[in-house]
Amino acid sequence: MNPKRILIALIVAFVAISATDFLIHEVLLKSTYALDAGKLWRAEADMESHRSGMLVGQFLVAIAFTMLWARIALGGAGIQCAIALGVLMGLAYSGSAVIQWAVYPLPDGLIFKWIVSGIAQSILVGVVLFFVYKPSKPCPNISGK
Amino acid sequence: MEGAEFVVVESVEACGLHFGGGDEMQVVMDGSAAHAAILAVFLGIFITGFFIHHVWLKSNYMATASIWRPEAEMDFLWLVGGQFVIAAAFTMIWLRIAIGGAAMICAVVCFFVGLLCAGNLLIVYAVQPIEHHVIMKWIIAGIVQGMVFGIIAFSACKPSKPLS
Repeated sequence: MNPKRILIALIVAFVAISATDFLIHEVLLKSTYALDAGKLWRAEADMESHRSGMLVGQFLVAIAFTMLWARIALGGAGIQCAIALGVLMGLAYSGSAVIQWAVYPLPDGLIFKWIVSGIAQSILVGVVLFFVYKPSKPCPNISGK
Repeated sequence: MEGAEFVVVESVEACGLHFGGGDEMQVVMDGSAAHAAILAVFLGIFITGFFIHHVWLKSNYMATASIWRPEAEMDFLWLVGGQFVIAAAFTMIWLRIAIGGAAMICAVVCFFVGLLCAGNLLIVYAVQPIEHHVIMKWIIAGIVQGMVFGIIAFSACKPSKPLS
């Protein structure tokens, strides 16, 4: 593993996660969240005071995603591996979202939007990581053995 | 084993993941073992989830009842379904990364899975009016569940036989 390239990949992954989170949650879903502000969600001023916690959380997610990809890339991987990792990470996020839906009185339709956006975001981050931290070997053709 | 590469046939081809094609060693895993691993991890998450949320944190949730669904409205099937999806996703990632690896590699994978959970929980804390001590307990519980997941997956995902 190349530490310098991993660091670059980590920064790029963090930027990708933060940027897509902003687009999803503060632009696309803003009106949905506004309906339950102060009840289900913190009021905006309260959320701003917890912004650093959000950034730390996004950074930890970026570290985990990057290191998991770096391990996969070590053995050789194609873009389909990156997409598959993104799908699986998105599915894990979706499972968590479904659990949240089971325990919180979330607005109708929000869970579907979270799942779709979460999977799309994870695939995007996986693809970005593929191009920034390229595997040392190509993906093998197992069927050709 | 340094440099060893592993191949999973049935379950990997089903999900489109491919292992590196090293020439040092290859091990074939029975697809049914992968399914058993997913089931074992799911049971681990379900059982630890019960102890964490229905026993340890029950009083915390009752004190903040206004932000949760009433207990009668909580959909158990969706909750269990979510846990199963998480178990399946992480087990498939595990199969790609850690299978056949040394215990240290497996522990490192568990660490990063725990980090992923902690990161998501911090984001939840930033946006939802969850109390500080509940989030800390969730993070600790997530790390413990990550370790349980790792131990179960490591025990369940041993390769069945080497290729000759």
